[in-house]
Amino acid sequence: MKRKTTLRAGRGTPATPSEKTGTRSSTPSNQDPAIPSNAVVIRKLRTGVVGLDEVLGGGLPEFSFNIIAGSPGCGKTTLAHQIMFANATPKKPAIYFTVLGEPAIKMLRYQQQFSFFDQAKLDKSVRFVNLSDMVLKNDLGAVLAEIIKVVEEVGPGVVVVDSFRTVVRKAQSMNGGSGSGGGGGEVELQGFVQSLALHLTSWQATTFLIGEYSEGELRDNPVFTVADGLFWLSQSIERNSIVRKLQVMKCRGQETVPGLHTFRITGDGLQVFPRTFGLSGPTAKKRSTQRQSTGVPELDIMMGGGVAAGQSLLLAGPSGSGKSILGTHFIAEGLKQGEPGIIAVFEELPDEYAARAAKLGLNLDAARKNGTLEVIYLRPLDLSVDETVHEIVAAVKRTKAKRVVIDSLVGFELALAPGFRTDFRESLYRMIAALTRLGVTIVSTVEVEEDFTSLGLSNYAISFLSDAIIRLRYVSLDGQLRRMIVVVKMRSGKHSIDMREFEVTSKGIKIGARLTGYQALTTGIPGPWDRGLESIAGTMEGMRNREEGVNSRGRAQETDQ
Amino acid sequence: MDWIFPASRDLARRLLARESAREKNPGRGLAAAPVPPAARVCDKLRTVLTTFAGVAGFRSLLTRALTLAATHTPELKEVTVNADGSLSGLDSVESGKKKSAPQEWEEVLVAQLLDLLVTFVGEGLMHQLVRQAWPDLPASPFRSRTEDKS
Repeated sequence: MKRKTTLRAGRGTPATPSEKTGTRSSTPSNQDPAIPSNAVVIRKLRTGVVGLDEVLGGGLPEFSFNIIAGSPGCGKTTLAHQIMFANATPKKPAIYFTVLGEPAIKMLRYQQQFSFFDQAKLDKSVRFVNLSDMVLKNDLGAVLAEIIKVVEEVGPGVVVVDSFRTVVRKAQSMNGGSGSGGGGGEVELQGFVQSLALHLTSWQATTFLIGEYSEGELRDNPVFTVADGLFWLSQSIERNSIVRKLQVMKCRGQETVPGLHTFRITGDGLQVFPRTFGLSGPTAKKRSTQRQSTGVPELDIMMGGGVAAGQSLLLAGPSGSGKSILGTHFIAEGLKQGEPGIIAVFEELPDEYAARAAKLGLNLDAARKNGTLEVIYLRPLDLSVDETVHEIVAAVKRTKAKRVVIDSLVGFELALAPGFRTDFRESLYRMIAALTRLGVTIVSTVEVEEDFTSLGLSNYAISFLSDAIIRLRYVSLDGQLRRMIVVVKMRSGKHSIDMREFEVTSKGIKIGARLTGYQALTTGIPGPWDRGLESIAGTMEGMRNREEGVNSRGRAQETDQ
Repeated sequence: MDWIFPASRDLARRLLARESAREKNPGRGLAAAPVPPAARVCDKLRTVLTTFAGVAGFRSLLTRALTLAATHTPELKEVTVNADGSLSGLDSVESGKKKSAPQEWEEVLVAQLLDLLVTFVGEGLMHQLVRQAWPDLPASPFRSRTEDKS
C-alpha cells in the first residue's frame, strides 16, 4: 500500500450513521500534494470497540468487504455484534444473516448479556435473517439471490454473514458431490464471494463475513483474496492464563497499527489494547526542566533539587527497604503541590495501601475521595502490558495526573500472563516511553535480591530504561541491620554521590548523615575504613577535584560532605 | 416444567382473544374452514420466528412447547409439528369441546411457547417479536417474571 494512499484514507473523522455516504469531498488544506484533489475520500465507521478504531487507523472503511476470522470462542460474533449495534440506525439498518452456525435464538440469548446490545434497536435498526434452510436445500446461487433480495429490500448499512465458513463448506461439498475436478468448488466459491462483495458494496453496505479458520488456511484462500479487510482473532492458553489477540492482517486503503494487539472480553464486549497505548498522535508535551520534590527534603538535595519532571525514576532495593514508602512520599508531596497522582499497585489492595500510608502520616484518603488520586489495583494474573498501560493512561487522563507510581515492577510482572513475561523488558520500555510521553513523572519500585557482594540495580536489566536510579539497601553496621540510600544515576544533571543512612519513622523516611568510616558499603557488609585505602581515596578525590576545577562543573557535593 | 408464568399466560389469552375475534369477523371472500385460534397464533409467530431463527429453530421451540402443554392436556400428544413448523392434528383436540371461545389447552400451548421465548431471548425481545406479528396489538403493562415470582 502506498504511503500517499494511506495518508489520504486516514484523513477525516469517523463517519456517523446520520451522515450521507459515498460523497467526494473538497481538498483540505493539509492534503498531501501528491494526491489528486478529486480522489475519493474513504469515510470511516466507528467500530464501537474501545481501542479498535485506533488500531484500524481511525475506523472501518465504509463499504468495505471484510472477514472476521479465528478459532471458535475467540470473540468473532461478539465483535460483529458490537460493530453492528454501533452503526445500525432505522435509516441504515444492519442485517445479520445466520447460516448454520450458532443458532440465532442461542446467539441472541447470550449476546443480549452485553451492554452494547440495545434491544430497542432490534425492531427497526437490527434484523436477523436465518439462511440455514436455504443453505441446506439450495445451491450457492440461490443463497446469493436470497441475500441480495433481502439487502435490496432493507437497504442496510451493515451486513454480517455468520458463519460464512458454512457457505464455504457448502461449496466444497457441492464440488465433491458433482464429481467434477478439484478446483470446481473453489471457482464457484470465488465467484460467489466476488458477486457478494460486488453487490453489497454497490448497495453501500459495509460487510463482515465471519468464519472459523486456522492460520494454515490463510494462504491462497480465495475468500481472503477478495476481502478488503481481514481481522484475525486468536486466543492461546499460556500455562493457566488465556490471552486473546487481534491482528488486522489486511485493511485496504487504511494505515493500521501493525502487530498483535491484546484484547479482553468483558460485559461491555471486546476491548482492544493497541500497542500504541492510544498515544499514536503527535505529542504536545515538551520536556520540562522543572524538578519535583520527592517529599523527603534531604533526598531532594541529594538529587540536585528533586526528580526531573516528566522523567522516570527507579527505586531499587530489597523487600522492606522503604521503596513503597518513598513512592508514597512522592505522591503525597505532589498532592500537596496540587499535582494529581496515580498509584498502580499489584501486591496489596488500595485500601490497605492507603492505610499503610496513613500510619506514616501520609493521608491519601482525602485525595482519593476528591479524585486527585487514584490507587489502581491490577492483579488478574492474565494481564498484558498493553492492558495495564491502558488502565494507567486512562487514569492519568482522567485525573490529569502529573505523578505516577508503579509499585512494583515485580508485582506487575507476576500479574502478567506468562507469555508476556518473556517480553517484559521490551514491554517496560514501551510503557515508560508511553507514560513519559504524556508528561507524567514515573516512579517505579523494583525489588532487588541482596547478595551481599555487589550492588545490583534490578533483576530485569532495566536500569537503562530509567532516567534516574535510587538504590536502597541494608547494611550491617555495628551489630545492626541499617538502611542506606544512594543516588546511582540521574540523567538530568548533578547529584550527590553520598551513601547515607536513613530510617523509616512514624512520620515517614528520615535521611541521616553520610556513612563515613566504612569501606565496602555497597556490599552491605562494610568494614572499618583502611588508612591505606583512605590515602588512595584521597588521591582519587584530589584528582576529581582537579578535573572539576578544569571543567568548572562537577557533581554536587553537599554541605555535609 | 408445567408451571407457566402468569404474565405469559395473560399475553397468550390476549393473543388468542384477538385471533378468535378475527375468526368470527373474517374479511370478505374468506370462507376457509375454521382454524383454532391457537393454530393462528402459532402460525403468526412462525412467520416472525423463522425469519431469524429458521424453520428448524421454530420447530424445536414449538415441539418443546407442545410437549410441555401435553402434560396439562394429554390430548395434545396427538398433535404434531410439521416440517414447515405448522401444527397438525388439532382437530382431535377440538372435538367434543366448546368452540365459542379459546380453550384452556390453547392458552397453555401459546403461553408455553411465549414462556420458552422469554427463557431463551428475554422478555424484551419476546415482546418485540410479538409486536412484529401483531403490530396493532395495544400496549399493555407486562408483569415481569420477577414481579410474578414476588
